Amino acid sequence: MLSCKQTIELGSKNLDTVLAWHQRLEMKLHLMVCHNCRRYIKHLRFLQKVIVSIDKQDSNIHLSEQARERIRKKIFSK
Amino acid sequence: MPSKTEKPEDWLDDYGDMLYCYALLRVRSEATAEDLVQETLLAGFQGFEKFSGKSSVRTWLMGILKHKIIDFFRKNRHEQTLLKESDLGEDLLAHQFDQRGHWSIELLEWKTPDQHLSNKQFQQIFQQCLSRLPQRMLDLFMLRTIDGVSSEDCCDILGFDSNNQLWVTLSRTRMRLRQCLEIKWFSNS
Ligand SMILES: [Zn+2]
Repeated sequence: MLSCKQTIELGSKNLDTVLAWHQRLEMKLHLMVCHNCRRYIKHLRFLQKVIVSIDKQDSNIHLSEQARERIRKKIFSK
Repeated sequence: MPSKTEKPEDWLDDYGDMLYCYALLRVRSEATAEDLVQETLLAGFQGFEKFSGKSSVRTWLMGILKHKIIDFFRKNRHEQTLLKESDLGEDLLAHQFDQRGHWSIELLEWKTPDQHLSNKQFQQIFQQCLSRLPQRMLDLFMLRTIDGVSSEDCCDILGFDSNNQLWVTLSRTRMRLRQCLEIKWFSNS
């Protein structure tokens, strides 16, 4: 039986790559009996959603007028 | 031939902010982000003849910028500070797990988390949590999770020795972010 520490590491790896079948099985078996790990995995999935949504936000960051001028000069002088 | 209804001379006004934001979130230096925008637009001008018009100019310029960012990381990888043991969150592990690797804390249930996604305060807290990560952890997390750069390329670009080291680092990054959100947001809301 996997420990919780091993399970959450696999849970994270599962988001980055395809796990071997025995790893998936071991993880599932552990998750069936461990509510804390189930929660952790849910939280990780939510984190993925947050990071994607952060990237899509309209942000208040703009090029400053000075920066815009600097770029304009450089790209149109060539 | 591409539709040339879009004039390259308008690109700075039309896409400058978008490119800048994207770059700044990843390289975290205003000067570097500015340089990347400039290089992207220049490359765009030079390549416009070959632009097929199959995608929008916006998507096409973003594609160029992504390559420029990856090049930037690759060129600077030797200057990046290596992660220390403490960065990997060994102390957090010891706090969360007992010696047999079982939980020694009770995780909170995050109730209806999706409703927070559009909450400005929540977004700020999350940004704070991100900014507390060591640079290299954040770089990896952004490249891999949002930009979908392959594990092999991530290792190469950021100078990790093995895929395994990469997965462990990603796992610890998520652990730190999870912990930060739980403390700063979910335990109060
Ligand atoms: Zn467990």
